[in-house]
Amino acid sequence: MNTPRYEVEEEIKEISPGISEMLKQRRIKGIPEGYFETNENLLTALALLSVKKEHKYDDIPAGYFGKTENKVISKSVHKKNWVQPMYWMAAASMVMLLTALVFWPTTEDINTDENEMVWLYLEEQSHTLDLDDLVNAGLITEESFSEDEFPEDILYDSIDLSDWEDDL
Amino acid sequence: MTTQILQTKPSIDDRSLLALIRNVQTREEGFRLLIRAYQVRLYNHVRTIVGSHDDTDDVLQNTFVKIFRNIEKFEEKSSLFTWIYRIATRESLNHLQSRKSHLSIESDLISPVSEKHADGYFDEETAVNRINEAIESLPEKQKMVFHLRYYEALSYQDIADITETSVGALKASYHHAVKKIESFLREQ
Repeated sequence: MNTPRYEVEEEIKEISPGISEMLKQRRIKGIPEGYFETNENLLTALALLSVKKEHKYDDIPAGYFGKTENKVISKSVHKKNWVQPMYWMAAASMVMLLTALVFWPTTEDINTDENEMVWLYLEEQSHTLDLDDLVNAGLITEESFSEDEFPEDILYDSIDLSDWEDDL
Repeated sequence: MTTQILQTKPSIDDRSLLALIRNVQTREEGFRLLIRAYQVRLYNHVRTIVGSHDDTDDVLQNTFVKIFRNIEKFEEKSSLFTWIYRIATRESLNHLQSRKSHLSIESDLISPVSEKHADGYFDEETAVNRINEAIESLPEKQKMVFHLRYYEALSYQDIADITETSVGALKASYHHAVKKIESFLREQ
């Protein structure tokens, strides 16, 4: 819960009567025009993709993959283990190639805001995309959603404040 | 470039937000409202810790992605607000940690203050400039406590929940921060 503003002001006047009025003048500068509006779209898109990664096949119509998927599964079962990585490599190469083609810069693209590009791209292709695709396209960093950096117990996990005492 | 006023307030309560996000039909609206409610506040919080706009942009994005990916696991044993701020704080401190190690490898000559000048962080007006410099001169976590208490007007208990430290230590930290700002301004 927030503390009433007047209490905060009273408190700081007790500690240092002279600086209260000066502190009120502080403003953060250097935020690009329209940053929050554009960022809202980007973050909303990332939110939907983040959820989609967990439930990737929920909104794909039944039978979408059809025989192709069955064929791959069927072959995978019978092939030796060393063959499987080749499927993945081929698929990854295809994704990278398609991503490169989609994002190949045109004069128009160069003038387009990065976040807007993401949004347009997602509008067209969101049903086939997940966060990995955005990483491959260089639009977000892998560490944005690295599981290693975000353990399951984050809800109650302590922040490492081992050097906190130095600051007090 | 715009000047951002530091204080903003969410327009929807956390429980309503969670209800929207947990319903598949209203999830997109829920996420959008969550972003709208917290984006500016978190930006200001993160910016106070990490300094430049670009770094803040990165940390903010990482923070939100982690919120989205884990909000289903959120058990409401703490408030949503505390949970979100804790993630943002953790991300900011991690970012500072990695930036420090990066800078120590590449160059020890770049000071955080000069970076902030280059980024246009400080206002040209002398009084505002001095206030910003005074706040920037604080140790990172003391600066964070000062921001959360003075500009965000959070209770000490909320700040303690976010930073997982004691209320007593926070009050002492805040007191020291204000005194340091005061003495910085007197020295100028």
